[in-house]
Amino acid sequence: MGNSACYLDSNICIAYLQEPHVFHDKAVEIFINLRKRHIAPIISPLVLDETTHIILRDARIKKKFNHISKIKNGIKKLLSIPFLRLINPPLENQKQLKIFEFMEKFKLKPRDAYHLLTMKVNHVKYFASFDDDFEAVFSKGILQKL
Amino acid sequence: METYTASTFTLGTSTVLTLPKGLGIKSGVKTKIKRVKSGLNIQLKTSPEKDGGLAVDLALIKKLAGGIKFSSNFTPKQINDIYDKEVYG
Repeated sequence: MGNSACYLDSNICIAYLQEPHVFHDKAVEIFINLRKRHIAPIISPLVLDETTHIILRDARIKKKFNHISKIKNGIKKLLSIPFLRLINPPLENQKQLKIFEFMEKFKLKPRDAYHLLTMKVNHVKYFASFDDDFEAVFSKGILQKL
Repeated sequence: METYTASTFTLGTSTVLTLPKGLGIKSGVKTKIKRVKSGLNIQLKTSPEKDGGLAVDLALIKKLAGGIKFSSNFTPKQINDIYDKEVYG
């Protein structure tokens, strides 16, 4: 995977799907730039979980009708993006413990440490996000910010 | 026009056509097969049509975007904080 793959944070997926989102255009631009640079967009089930959770939350607050099928349709569209692929965390028991090292070293929350573990075991080089939770990871050269 | 020789073998119920590695043809390339007088004419989509593929993909990325219109006005940082609060308490 290496140089040709970029893991996307859920905030990018949310902004891509949510049309009135303040970062919607930026998110679309990220997907366009990845395609132009021949870098495959990568997500994981954890990203899908976070994306669904936040959109579902927005739908409930706004009391939208039939929101589950709308979100399902949105996720289906996300999964149809050209060259988008899913990766998983490792399944080996011992490798799960690596997240504690990441939590301490980079001051990450458990789920962010799992994102990093997923990227590391799949040799993903780039990471794109709208937040700065991974700044310590970028500054140590573990991942490259896109 | 250059001509290359390819060979075939049977795999289950399919016939697999193997092409010389030097042609640099990647797996999954779209193939068009025409029946002609002398046999079959096989056309593989290669680099000149890649730009067409790019344009199609970019249009698709724009087309797939949006569609969910119950967004809140939270920034990604605020969304992150909300998620953390709901997941971790």
